[in-house]
Amino acid sequence: MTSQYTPLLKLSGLSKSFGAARAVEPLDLAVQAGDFCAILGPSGCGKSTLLRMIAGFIEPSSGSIAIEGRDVTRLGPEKRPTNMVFQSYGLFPHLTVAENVGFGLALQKKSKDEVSQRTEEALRLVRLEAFGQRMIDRLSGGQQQRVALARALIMRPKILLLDEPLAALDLKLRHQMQEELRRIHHEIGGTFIFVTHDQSEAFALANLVAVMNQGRVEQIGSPSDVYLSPATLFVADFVGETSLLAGERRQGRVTLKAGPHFVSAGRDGPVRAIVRPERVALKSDGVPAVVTDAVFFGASLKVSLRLPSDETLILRSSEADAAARYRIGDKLTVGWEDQQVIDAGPG
Amino acid sequence: MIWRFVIAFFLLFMLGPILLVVLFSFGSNALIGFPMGGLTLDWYAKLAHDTGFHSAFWASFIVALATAILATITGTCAALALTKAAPKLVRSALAALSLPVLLPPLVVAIAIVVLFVRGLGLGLGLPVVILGHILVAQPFVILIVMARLARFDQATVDAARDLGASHWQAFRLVTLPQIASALIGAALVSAAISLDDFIIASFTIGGGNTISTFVWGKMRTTLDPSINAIATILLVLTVGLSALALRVSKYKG
Amino acid sequence: MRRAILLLAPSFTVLIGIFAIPVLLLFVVSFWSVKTFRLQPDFSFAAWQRFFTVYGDLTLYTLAVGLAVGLFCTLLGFVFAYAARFKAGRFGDLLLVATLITLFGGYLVKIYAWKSILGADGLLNQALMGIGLTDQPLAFLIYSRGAVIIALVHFLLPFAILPIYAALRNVSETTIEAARDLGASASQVLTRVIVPQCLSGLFSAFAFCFLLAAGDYVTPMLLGGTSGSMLGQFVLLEFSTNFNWPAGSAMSFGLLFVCLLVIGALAAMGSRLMRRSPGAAS
Repeated sequence: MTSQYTPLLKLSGLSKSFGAARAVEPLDLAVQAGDFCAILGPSGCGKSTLLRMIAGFIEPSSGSIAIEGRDVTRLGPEKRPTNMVFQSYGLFPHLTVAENVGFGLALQKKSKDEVSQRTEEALRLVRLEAFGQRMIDRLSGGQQQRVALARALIMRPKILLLDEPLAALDLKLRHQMQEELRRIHHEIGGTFIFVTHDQSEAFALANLVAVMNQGRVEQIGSPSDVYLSPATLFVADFVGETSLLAGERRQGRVTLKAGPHFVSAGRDGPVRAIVRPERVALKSDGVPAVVTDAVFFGASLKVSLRLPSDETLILRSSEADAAARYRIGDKLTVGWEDQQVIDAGPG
Repeated sequence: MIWRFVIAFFLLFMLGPILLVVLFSFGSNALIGFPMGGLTLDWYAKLAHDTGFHSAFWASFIVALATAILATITGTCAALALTKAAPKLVRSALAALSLPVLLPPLVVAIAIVVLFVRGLGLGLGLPVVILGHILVAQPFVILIVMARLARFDQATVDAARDLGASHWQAFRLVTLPQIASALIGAALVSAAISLDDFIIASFTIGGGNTISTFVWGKMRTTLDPSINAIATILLVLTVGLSALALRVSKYKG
Repeated sequence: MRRAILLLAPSFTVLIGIFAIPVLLLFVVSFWSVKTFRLQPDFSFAAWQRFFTVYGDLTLYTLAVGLAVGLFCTLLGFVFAYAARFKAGRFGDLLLVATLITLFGGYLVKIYAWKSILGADGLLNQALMGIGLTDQPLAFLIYSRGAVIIALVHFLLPFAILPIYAALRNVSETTIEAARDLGASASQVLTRVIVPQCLSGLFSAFAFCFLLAAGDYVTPMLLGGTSGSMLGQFVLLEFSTNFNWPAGSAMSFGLLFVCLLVIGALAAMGSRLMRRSPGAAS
């Protein structure tokens, strides 16, 4: 039974151990219909294991997976309303593009007409309508990616799973495919879950981001939540280029080792202040700093500053004359508009 | 420059003697030696009317065909099991299955005879030859198929399962077509091994001849000049099958 | 797991039924006795005694032939594989094809070809007499140890080339370039970079050729004459003509054990040498 309160996908206490090693710690996650959800984390954090559990390739050690309120935990991948775009695509090299795309429908013994008609539709959706009769090895990487996408989408999955879908593509193609994925998600209004280690990709595509580290989900939220209010030090460090400055909180007041102090409610004890590079600027009565490195990125200049506390603060400036203003060795004073404060354990 | 001579020497050493036999099988002069006389197909024509050769040819054909099919099945099954197994198990299983190739074929052949004649009280014959050939051919099948499976993209099987295929459907529709050329190559190599074997066949055949044992009979006397022609036929069959196997399995990567 | 066992069942059924059980049975038979051409279960060492007393010298001689063939095959195989891997360019593939297609073909034909080449009225004698180097056929060409060794090397060389080539293929060009860059001469590259990286390939090539050469009986039968005979021929003799299965069995296993002993000793010596040599991988 589904109601508007039942999420499309609900993971409850889901975990996976390989022998003594915990790949995924027990976690809960709810994904609503229409969501474009990113599972973001460094390699080896358990995100692919999580995705393969949802697809049915790995049996969980504990917990349950429900899709539209129906428990699918013990079902094999062929019986789940999910389909997957594999990292290496897994295209059938002995079949043509059209045969690849129509493979799942042919297994369902659909009529030839229906298979070819829906294959054509799916190929049109990924803009490969002219390539149906090609063999797989005659396609470029980007085209193969689209075939893999069409082959999964033709099954009209309740949830489309994508395992590092763009990792094998070069930068320019990756940006193109990001746009394509957004367009397709918009066009068919489905629910997509994808795994990535690239935070910019996660932010570019998803409306819901789950950040994973060492088998644990550290934070689930919208991209802006995750970026602007990281829940843990790991998230702050992994998402974006932030500077973490050590400090101490006493009676609602934080004093950083580097000097500045400000009001911040919370428990007494050691804290870290998270400072976003784009919020840092020159400030006449600010903290003294020395420029240790300046890298030109085209649209902006990334400057590394050494603070009196020997910590590094990153500054990003997109002003036209930035390169002239920050030269290695320069001594200057800087400040920042606001910071996120996170409790840090002792040490 | 010196390497050219080295390479030429090796090719001459490896292929020369064999080509000599082929060359002289077309010579009107009876045995190998110059002058070889005029070109002739007489020796082949003579074989075509030799009933002893006919029965040897058919015996070899049956044995090679059965070996090719059965060894490819047993070896492929083993290769499929071993590609997903723990490395330790793979090493010991491969070592065990390769042992029959490492021991002198004489010992293997005698052991089989002792088992069938003394141990089981059964007779010898073509079925025993086939079993012996499966034993020797299956490690090569395993090596060939495992090499193909090592380059095999497991994601294709996952994808088929994800699209609704059962284990068996995924194997039949996705795995099998992809490794088919390797299986054909393995079957051809098995047939070549079977045809080339003389020692196991000569012990276990009981009565009658395969091409190998037929050639052996002529070699011992060396009085029959058609020996070059039979040797050439045997050579063309075994080397031809190996060359074909190489071509087939290379054809698709 | 159950699936793996099911898949391994057919091949292991053949292995156990047609190899393990027969070989064990054969071993047991070596302790049986023969009375008036009838085989009788027994626990007797007569067959083994016969192996050591009657066939001791022949066993040593057989080992010597096996060692010679193994060494020649390994050496030539290395040169060939080295040429195919590094020196032949596009001919490298041709060399490998020649190796592979003669691997499973022409065991008997190869031996027969050598008989035709080395025989008294064979090609080589004809050629030698033709250019006037000798006026009568050189009888020692055939029916000698040399003839047996040449034919066995010819037959086994492809089996030596393949493992060595496989090992050489794993030697990356980068390690060679790095050695050159660090000042190694061509011969130093060979002895310090290439050979150490393919030692296991060289050793398996040697072991395989040695075992098969020592166990062969067809080649000495056709090319060995009396001076070139080997133990395998007498295993056959005991089995078929003398109907002394225990003796044949004891000789088979005796030869096998001695061969394994030789291989084991060489492996131990090799690994000790490797440990001592400077610059060897620890």
